[in-house]
Amino acid sequence: MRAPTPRLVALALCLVGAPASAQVFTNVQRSGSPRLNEPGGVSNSLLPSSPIGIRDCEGEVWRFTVNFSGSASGGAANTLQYYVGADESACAMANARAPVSAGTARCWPIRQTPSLTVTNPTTPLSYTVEIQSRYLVDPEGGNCRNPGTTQGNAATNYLTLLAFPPSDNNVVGTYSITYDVQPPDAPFDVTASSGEGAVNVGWSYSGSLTTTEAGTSAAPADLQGFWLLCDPPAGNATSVDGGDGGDASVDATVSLDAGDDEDEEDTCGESALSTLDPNDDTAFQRYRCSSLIAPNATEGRAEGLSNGRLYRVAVVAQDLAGNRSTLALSSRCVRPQPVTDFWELYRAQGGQGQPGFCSARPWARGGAAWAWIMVGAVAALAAWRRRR
Amino acid sequence: MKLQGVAIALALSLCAATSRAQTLELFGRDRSRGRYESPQNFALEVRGGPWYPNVDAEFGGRASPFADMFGTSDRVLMSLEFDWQALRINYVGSIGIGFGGGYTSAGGVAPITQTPMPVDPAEWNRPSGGQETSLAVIPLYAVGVFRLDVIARRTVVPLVPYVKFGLAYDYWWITNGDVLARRSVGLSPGATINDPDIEAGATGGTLGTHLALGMMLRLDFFEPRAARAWDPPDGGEPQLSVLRVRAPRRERDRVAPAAPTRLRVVGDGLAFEF
Repeated sequence: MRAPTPRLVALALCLVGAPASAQVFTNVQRSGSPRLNEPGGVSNSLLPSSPIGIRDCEGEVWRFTVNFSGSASGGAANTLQYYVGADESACAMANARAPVSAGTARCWPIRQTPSLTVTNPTTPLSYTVEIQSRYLVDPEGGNCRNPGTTQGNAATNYLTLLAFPPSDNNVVGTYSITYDVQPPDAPFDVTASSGEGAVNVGWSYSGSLTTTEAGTSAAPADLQGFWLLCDPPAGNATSVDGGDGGDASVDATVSLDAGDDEDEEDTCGESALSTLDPNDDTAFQRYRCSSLIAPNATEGRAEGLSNGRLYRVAVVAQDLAGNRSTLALSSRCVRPQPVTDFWELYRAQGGQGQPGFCSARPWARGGAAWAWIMVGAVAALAAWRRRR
Repeated sequence: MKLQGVAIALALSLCAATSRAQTLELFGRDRSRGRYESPQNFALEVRGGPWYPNVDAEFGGRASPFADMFGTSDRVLMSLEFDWQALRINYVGSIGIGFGGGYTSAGGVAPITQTPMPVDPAEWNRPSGGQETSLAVIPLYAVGVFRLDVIARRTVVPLVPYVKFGLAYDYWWITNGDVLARRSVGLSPGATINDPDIEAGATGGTLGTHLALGMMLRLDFFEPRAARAWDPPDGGEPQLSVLRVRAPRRERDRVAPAAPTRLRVVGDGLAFEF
């Protein structure tokens, strides 16, 4: 076996040393997203590997622990600057860093204020830096809805720490960050019918649905589900445009007459839902009247509503990055009404059955007697077998 | 979930207990058994058939809430039964114990509440796409089973009459939309604050008896070579012995609301004995 050449040893050392640069960004944490702890949303924390959505982008901060042990070229650095590159190597090339004299930039300095620049760093240096999500998506403009970089609405960006000078090849470390600020398609053909204290809602969703020969369809891969919104909000006395507000008990009494005017339900006027931004979390939560509905569902139930009151409902799609589509409003307003279910009908007509797990009525007690006879017969059989 | 866990544990313990069980033969060895047949200890039945709960019988013709809400057509009851043929009475037949269960449901659009509700269901307001209500039942039972197979064994008539009788327990629940139905004083017709079921979920279990009379048709009569192929004479592992079709008649005297099935109920299915 031949001894390894010095060149191979150097290559091996280089490979062993390579992970050291990946350790520049450690202990990465995200905080401040409105998605945290929302019903049906993300609980406790968002993983660094999860894409940044619109709502994350607008309210979130990333916290990195940075370990700087010197520039890659070995020279002393007098400035550390943060950039975002379109690919892992973009920021390593001076002619790809904005501003560029020719061609298109593929690496942009982060314009967050106050500046993230570190001057005259000493080595080794370990410190924490906070970067707003919006600048990880759009490093120059911080625009979450329409990022000004050429990366588009969904891509992977590379946070890059550069040391200046002494050379152009001065990448200290990179960290990949995915984002998706493209809202999903909105549902359509929203229908609504009244239930008891509820509205039953149906919708269609094409988006990127695929239809097979069997006629079944699958939800888009990145669709998390659907929400229902109601105006007036569930449990709120303020009514949609028709002045039907008031005390819930009064509404219920009125609806018992079952003389609702169907024509009235078709004309419910303007609703606050018409102008609501579904990615505005405060407004969204106010009007929300369902939990998150499965992505392959085409119907749901808005609950917590008052019987006798007129409601406008809307459906919103949400993707895995937490982005919400525009609202799809129901074509007509509906008024929840009390219904008589089978249990109520049975009891109202004098049925004596009761809930519970031993609800035999007196004239059926013969069943219990027969049960004891059965138990005795089985016991006798077992005893007889044992004797034989 | 708790009920499912109990059911699974019961089934597993039953399987464990019966896996070592053998049929006790009364009055000597079963000489009517064919030379190619291995001993039969167990039976597994899969059945399906029309079903109609006798909820309305409670009212003696004064009312018919089930028929009013869900109509008068039969529903389908699918069920499964496992028997241990514990005792063989030569040459007459076998006596054993069996455990079974099934599932069925009835559903329809709930009428909008009116005060008072019209007596004639045709006058109810049941909007299309309105809120559904349903009754779902899981009938469970433990029975003693007697199969008179001497006819099929000793004659050319491949019929096996049987009778089953025992204890039945129907687990039932009623829904309003996607949730359990509940009565409330403000919204439920006729409800008063003194009713014991106010705000209680409409679910429960009803105890009763189970009687089934039926007839099995032995399929090995038509294809004896197939039966032998399923049942090699070297014993050992349990083997399919005969395949039969049964057409039972069933009667129950259960109480509302998951109450007795009608006498005219007939179910068809397949039974495997091994």
